[in-house]
Amino acid sequence: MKAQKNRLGVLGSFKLMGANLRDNPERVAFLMHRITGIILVGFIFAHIISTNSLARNGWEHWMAVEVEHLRTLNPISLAFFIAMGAAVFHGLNGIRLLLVEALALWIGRPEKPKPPYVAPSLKGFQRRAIYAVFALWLIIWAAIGYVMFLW
Amino acid sequence: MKAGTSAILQYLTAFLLVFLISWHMALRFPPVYGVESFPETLSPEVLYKEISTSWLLLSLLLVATVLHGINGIRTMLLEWNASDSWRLLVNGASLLAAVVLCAIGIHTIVAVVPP
Repeated sequence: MKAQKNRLGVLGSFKLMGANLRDNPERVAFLMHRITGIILVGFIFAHIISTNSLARNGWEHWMAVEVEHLRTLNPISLAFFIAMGAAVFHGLNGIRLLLVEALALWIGRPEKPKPPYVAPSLKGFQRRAIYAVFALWLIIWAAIGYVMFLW
Repeated sequence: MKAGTSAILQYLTAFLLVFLISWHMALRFPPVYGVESFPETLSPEVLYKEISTSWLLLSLLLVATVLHGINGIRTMLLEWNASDSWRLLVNGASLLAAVVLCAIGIHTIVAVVPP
């Protein structure tokens, strides 16, 4: 198949120029789901490889190198904290997507279009669910920060 | 893989991961083990007990995470370009990455020794 010149491809999802973000939390949530997904894949690679040091180098190395980095605020613990934030957002928004996309919940029922037409899905509970996802994300992320750095 | 099959795989692994990652993260909460701080939940005794008793859940978490993550990136990369060679390259690299990551993760679970 020949690639099309006018095809934005994956960059289209990150291209904000022309995208209407105002009163469009669905678009913001979509973009953040992708960004957090990319962060998490990087974290999963690092996490699986770093925890393998348990099997390769033993417990002393694990405590001295891997765990020691998480005791104080430094670039590695900060990256870990950011990855935790990404995991929480991706997870909460993922639950919303499972309910809205996979189970078609909270999107309202089809109705006869009358001006001014607003799609039923935009009046459904799914939109409030997005705001709930953002609020819960910030609360849980702050709690994780407290447990990691202040407990 | 058909787009529909890929989507079902994403939804199924996502459903599993909601529970498994919540459990995995909750175990780092100090009161769960009665320890003083987050780094102490990563101590050898705590971790070895966790790995030896929950190896099956950890293996399931590993496989579900790798499948969900790699399939997600694969989907994004396939949006980049529509050529057959690119599709072949992305699918091959995804399969290789998934196998390597699962092998490393399983090695961690199997080869860890008591502290």
